[in-house]
Amino acid sequence: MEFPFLSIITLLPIATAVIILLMPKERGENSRMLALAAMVTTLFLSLYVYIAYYNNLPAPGTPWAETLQFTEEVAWIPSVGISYILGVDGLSATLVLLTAVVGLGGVLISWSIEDRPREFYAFFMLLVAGVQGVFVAVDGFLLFFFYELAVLPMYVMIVIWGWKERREYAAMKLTLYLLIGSFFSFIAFLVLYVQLPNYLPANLPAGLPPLDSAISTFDLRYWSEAQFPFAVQQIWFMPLFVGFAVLAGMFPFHNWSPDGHVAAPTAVSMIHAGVLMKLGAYASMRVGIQILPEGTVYWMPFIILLTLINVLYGAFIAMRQRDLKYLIGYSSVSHMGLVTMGFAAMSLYSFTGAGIQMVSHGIMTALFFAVVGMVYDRAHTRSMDDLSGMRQALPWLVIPFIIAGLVSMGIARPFRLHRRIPHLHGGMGRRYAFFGQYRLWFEPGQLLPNYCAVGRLIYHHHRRLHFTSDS
Amino acid sequence: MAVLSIIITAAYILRAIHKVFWGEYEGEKWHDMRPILPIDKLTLVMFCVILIVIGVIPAVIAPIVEAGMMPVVARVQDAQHAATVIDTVHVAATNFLYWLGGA
Repeated sequence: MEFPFLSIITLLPIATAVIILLMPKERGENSRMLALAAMVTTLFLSLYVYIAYYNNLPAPGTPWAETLQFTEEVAWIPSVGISYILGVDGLSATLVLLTAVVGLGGVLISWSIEDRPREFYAFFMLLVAGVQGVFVAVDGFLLFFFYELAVLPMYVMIVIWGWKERREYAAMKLTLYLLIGSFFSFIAFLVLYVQLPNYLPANLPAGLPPLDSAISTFDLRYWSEAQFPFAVQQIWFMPLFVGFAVLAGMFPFHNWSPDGHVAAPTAVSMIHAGVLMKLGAYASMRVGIQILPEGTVYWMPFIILLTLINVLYGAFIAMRQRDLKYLIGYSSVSHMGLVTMGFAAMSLYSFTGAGIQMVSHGIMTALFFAVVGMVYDRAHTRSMDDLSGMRQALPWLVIPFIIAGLVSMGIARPFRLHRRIPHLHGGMGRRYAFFGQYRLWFEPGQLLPNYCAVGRLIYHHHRRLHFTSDS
Repeated sequence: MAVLSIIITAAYILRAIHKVFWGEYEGEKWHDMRPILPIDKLTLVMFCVILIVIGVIPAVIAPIVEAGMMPVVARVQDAQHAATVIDTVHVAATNFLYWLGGA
């Protein structure tokens, strides 16, 4: 048997959490060393998995089941077709590495936490384990299991260590949104589960034995080959996709996200914006788009409309914020809209762009929240009106904030957008007509507020610089 | 159209940088500020290095993400023949117009 890389990446944080909770209270100091050790180990293992996958990329055209590597398979509840199957494809190998990096950053950032560090690190480890689990799960049931495991520690961590004014409200809102979303996904998933054996093609990819038609399976390798009838796909795509897209902050279900960001402690904000929102996008792609491609095609125009609102509306709200954390919270809603939009454009470039955007946005937002957390810890305010001249007090934060800002402005993004947009507007036959009309209608109207925004910005700067130097 | 979000993003991020880090420094208000710990600096540098590496050499992640997306895209492209929600709306609207004309 091969070395179980993925099991260790997923289960090591859980084991660490258990050990941390078993330690006596007086030795709470040691918990951060344990957490650090676990995260460094995970990082090295994920890096190994990533590099090994990178050096052994599957050929184009390989079915999904055969692109999986580092596969581990153990029967769990065979009577209903649930098994413990882990594996990574190119995207999940990347996201596992991202989670490991952000998790390590989270442990380092909360090094000086005073309030109950033992419990904090235990819950943090559970959160990381849940996120890693979703990325490596190849079994649908396991995926839902880890998904819930990732949501519940969020609630506890926000309520106990969060910002005192908003934490209970924000934590409850976040948990309700996410659990109700996954509830819809799970219903859709179960409906499809019952019908699955009827709609599997005769020739399955190599390595998959024919399915016992009396028992269905949660194994996503079978699901990724299923050909559900069009009517089924039409009905169940939306619950399946949107249920997960709630976690990706998709309009009109984005409202939990900025509140959650603001109320959460710094490390949790980093995981939340950096990885958890990617988890929603990843799951909606893996479960929604991959299983029901015709449903995707059917609903695509509607989803593009939602994501456009998502991107622009998120950006405009961010423009109005005075609180730094709300600013970054809305900005990540806007940027995650670009990821969903990449999915909705349905070409290889757009999907790849969405994947790269997930990674760069993950690191960038984590960095933003780290910087804002440090400012808040020291200045005890996040309001842009109260803060000024921080470059003299905290010079170390200036360059990271500017780098993150440049990334979010898209210094690296035009490359991706340029690749994505032509495919959004063309190359799809009759749909082109729709976009043609759409652009005619909306583009001048959209440009106007932008000029206003930039104008207002320049005016604002001018006035501020001018008057402060005069007076 | 989504490109426009870049302009807005540029606007609010630049404003945030300007307001928080530049401007008058009120020494007496912030005199008791803790310095940044070395461990925090380590984290910041780690993230910055990763961002710059991904930005300058996108080849470190682009091929592997692309490989991961290929099976999904292949499945979606196979389904391109399917009708879309626009067709449904179009049919419904046409029927409605016929109904109006008949009434």
